[in-house]
Amino acid sequence: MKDNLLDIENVTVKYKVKNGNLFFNRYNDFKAIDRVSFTLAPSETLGLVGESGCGKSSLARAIVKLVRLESGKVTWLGKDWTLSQKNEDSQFKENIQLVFQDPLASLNPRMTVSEIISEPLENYRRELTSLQKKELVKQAMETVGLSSSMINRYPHEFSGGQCQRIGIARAIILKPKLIICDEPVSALDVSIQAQVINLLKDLQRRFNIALLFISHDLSVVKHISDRVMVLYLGRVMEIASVNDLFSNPTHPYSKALLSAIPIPDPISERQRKRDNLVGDAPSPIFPPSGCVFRTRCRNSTNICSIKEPEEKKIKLGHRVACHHVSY
Amino acid sequence: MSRLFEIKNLSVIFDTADGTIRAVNNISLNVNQGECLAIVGESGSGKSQTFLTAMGLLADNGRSSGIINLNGSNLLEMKRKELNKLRGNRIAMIFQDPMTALTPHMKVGEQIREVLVHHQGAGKKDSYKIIKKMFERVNIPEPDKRMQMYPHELSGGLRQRVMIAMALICKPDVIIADEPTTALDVTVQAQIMDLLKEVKTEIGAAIILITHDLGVVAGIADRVAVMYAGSVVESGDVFEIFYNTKHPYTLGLLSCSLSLDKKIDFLEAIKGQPPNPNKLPNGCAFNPRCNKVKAICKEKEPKLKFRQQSHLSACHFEFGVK
Repeated sequence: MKDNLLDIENVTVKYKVKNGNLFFNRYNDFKAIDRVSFTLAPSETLGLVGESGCGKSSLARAIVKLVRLESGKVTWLGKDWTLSQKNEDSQFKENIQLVFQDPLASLNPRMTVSEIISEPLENYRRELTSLQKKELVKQAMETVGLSSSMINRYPHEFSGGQCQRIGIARAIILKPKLIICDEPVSALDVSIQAQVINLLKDLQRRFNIALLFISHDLSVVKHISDRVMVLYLGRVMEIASVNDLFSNPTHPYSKALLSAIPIPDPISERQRKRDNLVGDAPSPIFPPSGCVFRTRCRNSTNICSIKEPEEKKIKLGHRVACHHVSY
Repeated sequence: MSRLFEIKNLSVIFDTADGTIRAVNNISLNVNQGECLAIVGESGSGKSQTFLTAMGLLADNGRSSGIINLNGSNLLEMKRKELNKLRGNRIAMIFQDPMTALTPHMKVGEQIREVLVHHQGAGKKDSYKIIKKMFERVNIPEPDKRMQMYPHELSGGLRQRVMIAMALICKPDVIIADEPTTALDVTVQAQIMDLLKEVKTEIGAAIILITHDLGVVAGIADRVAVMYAGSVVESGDVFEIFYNTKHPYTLGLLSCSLSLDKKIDFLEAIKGQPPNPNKLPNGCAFNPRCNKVKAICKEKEPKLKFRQQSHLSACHFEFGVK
């Protein structure tokens, strides 16, 4: 497929966790990501949702090679990135930038805003003079709604929302093709959250950036995404366009997630019938056999504990991994 | 009839190196039995400080003035010993992060037993039975086993249930829940909110829910108080607040909170950011961010006024928008 920006095929990420006693070191493998596949088209937004521990962030890290892939393939613009050598990496990395969850922790406290935002330039645009760099930094700051007079301040002088804007300015300064946003708004207040979401949407339109938007908040994901992927314990449960997923959620987990989101409207919130999941998500180190969701699923039957469901295509661009979905 | 829990003209001031900070500014609130009051506001609006003061947990550099009445007696004037008889017994608190609120080196069963022994002088066998029953009540599976566990062995949802069990164990009159679900996943949040609703009807306790999530408020609250920069800017019945909003800040919060049932292209965000509490703007604290600001807003601080029966709003103007 030539048109896709990013092709992820059967990506698996494994971590080792220590599980020994005083005398023996034993390690358990656990799969944070298990055979996940998806594609991302240019200037598209894919929302990635799931509860904590479902592997959302691991997937983001795997894409930018911050963690090693156990198996699988990441293809960027038709080229296999997993095989590329270190010296070729810069071409890919230049085009993929990250925005992190904790705005203050992701900025170096001993660097000024101008140093933080121009750091990508130091790595990838060495030919520019310092004056040109400064000009670009100022432009980027204005683009994200920060006054360029604040260029010599330090991160602690800014509020959470402003720090997140600095993080975004750093991400857009190289004019990347893809920005991976790892829970960019969950640490912010509601009113600031709305500002940052508006900013991301606006930047995406202006610069044709694709977004991989990771969040646990489905209402944010609904607002910003074109397509949504639902993860549970490192497996894809459902992937569909925003309209399909929210009007016709097919996987029992997606249904439960949707019904758990509170609606800020007293009348409809109180009339709504909830079908709450029981219990917590099981430990990813010892996932249930067969379908990983079966321990919390209402519809689970014998087959669910024996066989892992395969992803079924129920319509174009809508895949579901459940035994009890007919197509 | 005297109110069950009442805050009158409470102010909280902190002395810091940067000068004095007015965290809470002359606020008045009350809750009746069996009622749920939601306190909504952004970080720094003073919502947590108000109730930490009520629990006697104010930091050393903080000073408070005003009255906080529980069943007619003022909590702020009490000696530590008297307060200790009430805390955990008649008034209990559920904290945001159960991992830091529970003692890490004590089994959770032991921690709850401590409360029982202190307030009711219960014996070992009795308290075991009471705790087991309470664990079953808050839907903790295998209560016998869980009581012997340490907080780190439990999942976030279970830890929060332990916290709720601990708060409920003496059947308090007032439960203060400070962002009880913010640290939890949505599916677990829904379970915990259902549990709180059941508790409210079952033991008839008053619940004060501190939160920033308007969705959570919509599901459980009877009345709502919206706080901004240390003051209550609007308060009233939950339906009034949501459908007959009077204050521009509340309106802004409502229009920028995302919902599954509406699809809008561009969110109407509130511009700017919450003010720094040690240099609040002149006049109305919300005026630099308000989109309906007039000259008077920059000069005079608006008073909380009745707009309708039991609906108060602190704005110079009557915005009956919506």
